[in-house]
Amino acid sequence: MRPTVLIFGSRSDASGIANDLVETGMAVTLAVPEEENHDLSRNPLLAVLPISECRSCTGFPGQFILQAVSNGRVTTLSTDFIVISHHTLREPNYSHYGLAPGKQIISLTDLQRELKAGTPPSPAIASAKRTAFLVGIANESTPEMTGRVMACAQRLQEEFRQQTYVFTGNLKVAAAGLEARYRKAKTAGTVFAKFTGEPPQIEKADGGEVTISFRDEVTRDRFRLSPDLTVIDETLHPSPFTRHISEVLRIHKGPDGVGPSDNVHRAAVLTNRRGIYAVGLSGWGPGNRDEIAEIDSVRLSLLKAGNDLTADAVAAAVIDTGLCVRCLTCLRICPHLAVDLATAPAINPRSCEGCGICAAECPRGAIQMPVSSDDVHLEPVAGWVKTGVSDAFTPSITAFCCSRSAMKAGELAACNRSPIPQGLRIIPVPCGGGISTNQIYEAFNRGADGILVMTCHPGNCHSEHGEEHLRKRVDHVSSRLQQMGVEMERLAVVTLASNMGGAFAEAAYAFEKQIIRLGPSRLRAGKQMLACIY
Amino acid sequence: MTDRKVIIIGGGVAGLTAAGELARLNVRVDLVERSYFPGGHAIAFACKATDRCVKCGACLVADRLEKAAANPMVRILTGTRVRQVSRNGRFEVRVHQKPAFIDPSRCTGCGVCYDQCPETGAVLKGCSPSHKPFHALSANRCRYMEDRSCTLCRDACPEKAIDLDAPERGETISADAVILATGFETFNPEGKPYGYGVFKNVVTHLEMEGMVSGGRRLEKPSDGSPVERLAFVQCVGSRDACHHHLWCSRVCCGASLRMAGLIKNRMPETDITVFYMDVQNFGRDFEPFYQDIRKELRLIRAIPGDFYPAGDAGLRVTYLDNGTGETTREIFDLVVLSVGMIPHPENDQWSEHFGIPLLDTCFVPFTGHRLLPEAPGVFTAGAVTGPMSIAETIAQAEATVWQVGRYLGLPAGEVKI
Repeated sequence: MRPTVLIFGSRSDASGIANDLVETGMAVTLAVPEEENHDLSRNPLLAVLPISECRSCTGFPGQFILQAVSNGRVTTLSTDFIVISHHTLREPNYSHYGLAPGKQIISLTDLQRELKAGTPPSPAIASAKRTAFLVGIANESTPEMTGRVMACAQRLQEEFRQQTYVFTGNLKVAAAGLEARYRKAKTAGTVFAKFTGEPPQIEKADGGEVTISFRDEVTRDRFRLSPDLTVIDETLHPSPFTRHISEVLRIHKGPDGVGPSDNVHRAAVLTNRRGIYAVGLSGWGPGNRDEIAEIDSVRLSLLKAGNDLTADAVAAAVIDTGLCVRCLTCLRICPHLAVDLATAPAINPRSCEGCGICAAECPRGAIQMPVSSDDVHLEPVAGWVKTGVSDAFTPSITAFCCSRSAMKAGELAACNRSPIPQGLRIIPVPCGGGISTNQIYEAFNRGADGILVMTCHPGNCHSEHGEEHLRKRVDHVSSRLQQMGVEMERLAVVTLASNMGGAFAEAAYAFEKQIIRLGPSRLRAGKQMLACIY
Repeated sequence: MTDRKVIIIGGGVAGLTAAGELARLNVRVDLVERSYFPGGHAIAFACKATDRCVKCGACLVADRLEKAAANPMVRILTGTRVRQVSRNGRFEVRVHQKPAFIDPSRCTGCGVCYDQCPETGAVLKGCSPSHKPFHALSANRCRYMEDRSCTLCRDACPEKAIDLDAPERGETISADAVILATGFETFNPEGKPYGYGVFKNVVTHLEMEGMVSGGRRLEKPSDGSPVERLAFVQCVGSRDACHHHLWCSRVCCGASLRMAGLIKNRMPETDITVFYMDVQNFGRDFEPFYQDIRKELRLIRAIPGDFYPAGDAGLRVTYLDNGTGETTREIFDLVVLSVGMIPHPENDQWSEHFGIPLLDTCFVPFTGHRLLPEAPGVFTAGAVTGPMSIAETIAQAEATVWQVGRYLGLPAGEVKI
């Protein structure tokens, strides 16, 4: 059977990837915003569905179910995989320069449209002698914008014999070939004026004439220019459609308000939901997409995802239906939307990434991870150099370490021969967010004088918010410790990255010193027990 | 599929990502790396996180290395150079491997050899425990190699993993496709008037990465004292018409500003100045990040003049601030040069070996956009095709794997559900 892929995107941006996926042998549905003018697809493997709204998306890789509104009717769609192709809107920055659109004041997109081959541009453009481009003076521009400005300037300069001026702040040349084009444009006669301190004064007369007064930062001379045509740059925004889709699909959002988040572990095209991929935003944001690389990366991901579906289930969490009371905590908290409510609550192994956040949060303790941390042998890493403690007291320290970051840093510390506290024992956990309050209590009850919880930096968690969940629980345990008269300093959180071996050793060493100062824990040897409450 | 084999030349982010991904598709991979340790330049980069991740991507490198190294379909040959390439249906690649003198199957990375060695630089340390051996012996520093006078490391190794007489070896690798992922070289700033190579406290950005990696505090290389006045100089050897380097290296603004943020976070008392031409975008949160960080630094749009020694290993520099039009003379404790990413001089050789044309810039074309008709079966990925970030390199390498899969006749469309 052909795998099915549903692509959300604008026709202009997404038909490329749609055709590429069809060519790969997939049955593709392209869901486009209803307002887009659409023709029927001639390709039997590519269906185009105009939708006004997507209402829900449930399910898992290989079996997603969506409800969308198309032509006023609610349609149910089922698909194996989903791709979000990001679409960006361009909003001209007239207001940034105190200008309004007019015959002599146009946006960059308008100018590009006028200069399109085949049709002569309007007289206002064709007859202009001097054209000024205002780019990235009021806000930061993008390399994509620079490329478009230079393409237009070059044509006006060469074909229409105009004198062109580019007024800019930081000239964005961080894309292949742009610096060379910038040099070429300068040689061809385009004047570039860059502003750092004093921005140019832009005035518009009643007749619509624009006057730009500025001081050249190199010569310090003042100039006044009255261009016949003023071209305004644009700000790129994610389209409301992709905003809506990432909301409904419950993809973690990035700083620009659309999914996926800019978590580095999502490189290049992954999202927090397995089987859902995104193109158009990786790395550099709108205007910098290396579309071809991303599309092939999606194709590779789809191929692997298809293989994974046929492979054995990954190490996923398991819900004990006997203990489960259907409080749906797991459903609410799972960052990967892996909880299946079809019959009894269950974890879908195709979506589960094994972080253990659900298991840590389950108020009934009804969720088990395949490798329970309770069973983990408390063994130090091979080859660790232990610090000799002159003190009679060697504190017993339990370190819960995220296996993706802190555990790796610990291994690196071992290889680097960084000294590690004598009494440090490690419990690797799949994610810091998977450490439960009970595990922390248990470690104290088993005789730890101090507990160090080591996990990823905020914003770097594979499961996005693991560190926040962890902090919340650690705060909770700390307040309980305080109530019992146990020093809160016995429990600490450290965040680090997998390549920070030195920081691992330093943090562990500093923590040991702190615990030596506090002396042995009162909770040691069962004199006083912290209750484990389920 | 299992009879297919790909040779990847270059063990940096691109090569390692491609190796791991190909292995997941059941394609065998021989990865050839020139140095003793895989990971390329980027494996030594510092995590730039402050109180949160700033998306530099440095942590991804060790991750990709681990994935490649852990997969039995991948064989990583370090200390290995390509000598000859011939093509007769398949590629026959003659390689030559220098021994690391440590048996990877026995080495636990315990570091006893490193501790025992009396000669600095004779036992080298890697960057990631995922690759074994974690250490390697450098033949031109080792006393045993010189006059057989010292066997301390061999005698001390608890695993008996060291063979000081390990021979160099040659091998011919037959492969169905080649991925060229040899990366970039950094511009050598010795010719610039910044005193690199003359003053100890002038370093390249790459050296700076090593100085602060793993969580270390920043100190002056001259005497280990703290750095009070730090300067970054951007675009050293990039956007440089004198050297015909008509490209922006794309990653340095992000690297320097994130690094500045890291230093400010660890040592808030440090005064930081950044000399720049145009600040380039990086990451999706560029604008808010940039607006925040510029409050903590001094950004000066100028290419500084010559650096002269000033007392206490300080460096005096005069510059014309384009923003204010004033000439200023200042003293810095440490100057970090953002050296540009330039094409590796060996690109010529690859061009010859594989019959691929070079770009005007002397980088190699990216085969993801268009397969090279001159060289079917030859693919490229990563910074060998031009300056790019870690995240972009990963995207390119994944895309290249897709193209390689297609070339190998990997069953397109047979994704079984």
